[in-house]
Amino acid sequence: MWDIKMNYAQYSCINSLIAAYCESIHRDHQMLFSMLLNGRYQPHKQLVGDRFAINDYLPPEGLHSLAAFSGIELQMTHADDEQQLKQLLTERLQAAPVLFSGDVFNIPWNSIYRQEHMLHVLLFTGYDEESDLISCVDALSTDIYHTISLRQLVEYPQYLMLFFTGPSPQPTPEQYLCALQRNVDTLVQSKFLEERDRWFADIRALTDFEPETAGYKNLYGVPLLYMLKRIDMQQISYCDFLQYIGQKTGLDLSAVLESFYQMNKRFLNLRLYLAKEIVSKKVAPAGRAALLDEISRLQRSIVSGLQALTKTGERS
Amino acid sequence: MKHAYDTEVRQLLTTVLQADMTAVDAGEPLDQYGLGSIALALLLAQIEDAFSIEIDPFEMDSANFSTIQKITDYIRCKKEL
Repeated sequence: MWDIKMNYAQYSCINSLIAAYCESIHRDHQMLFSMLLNGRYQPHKQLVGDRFAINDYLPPEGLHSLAAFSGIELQMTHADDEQQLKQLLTERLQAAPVLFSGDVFNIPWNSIYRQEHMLHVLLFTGYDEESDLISCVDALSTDIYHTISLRQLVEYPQYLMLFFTGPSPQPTPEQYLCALQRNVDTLVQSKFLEERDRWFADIRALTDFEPETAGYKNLYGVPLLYMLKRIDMQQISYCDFLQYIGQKTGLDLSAVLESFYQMNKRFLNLRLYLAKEIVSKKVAPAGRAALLDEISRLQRSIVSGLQALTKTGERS
Repeated sequence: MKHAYDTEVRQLLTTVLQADMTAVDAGEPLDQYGLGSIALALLLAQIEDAFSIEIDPFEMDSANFSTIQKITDYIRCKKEL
């Protein structure tokens, strides 16, 4: 059975499991986050929380970078029947842990066990054919290894993500710098700042949280708070990528990272401020606007700082 | 010695966390009593109402409200302004 350490609670479920997997085979995971800072404004969506979309679930550019810089490829395959899944697990678990994505309806330790259908990710670390039990790690409850029977798991649709680890590449500092340059170019071309500012304008204009909260049993489900939480994880992961690039290239990213940490803090302030507005049912747009102004200023300084650094490629 | 606002803060926490907070050490982290982000939001709203203060949006940080001591210190600073 594979021994997995979970040290990445600050990442999203899937990213924390991939990072844990990489650590278990002594490979770096940070290039997975190379294009993680992204986002698109979706004005047609009814709820403000849904009007910003981020691609934080296995973005193809991130997977490509993970393959190129760490020698790890991820392939997805459907595993719809018990026999097929059993065969795949028996084969693949000898070489590496296996990432599983599927419905949590039948996963007993999950809080919505047999209540709701929801896509979730687990890392399989072992399979015992005799007892039919799969050992796995769940990013949402990392304290123990869980076990689940394969028969129970196949009742609902799922697929496996299989890691293939090749020889460890030895990228040069220039290649890391090129990856950052590509990333910054994409950030500018995609009008990331403008897209976020358009979304922020909607958040500023909120005068009523009723539509956002309707139908949600608790605040954890409110789309706006959920999106801010996802952005928080997205930005923390991206900071790790920047730090890593700094180590690999000697580029002095300290000023950019400092602005990033400040911005992350303001996002946390904003999330708590919005939650307070929602629970108290008191709309207070002035504080919201002050935080968004500051976030806007910081993100501009981050992007311009990155542009300046990648143009000059200055080493410390 | 009890800090100013200690009793009132404990009462608010008892309501928000639905647990008796009267004997909890003032320096003990409140997350172990279930003070997550949603409970904290509720607590902040109640602090504003109960003490007639306005919490600065830039100070909306769980670190500022992680213990009874920190909460009472924060309220005292605001009231003395």
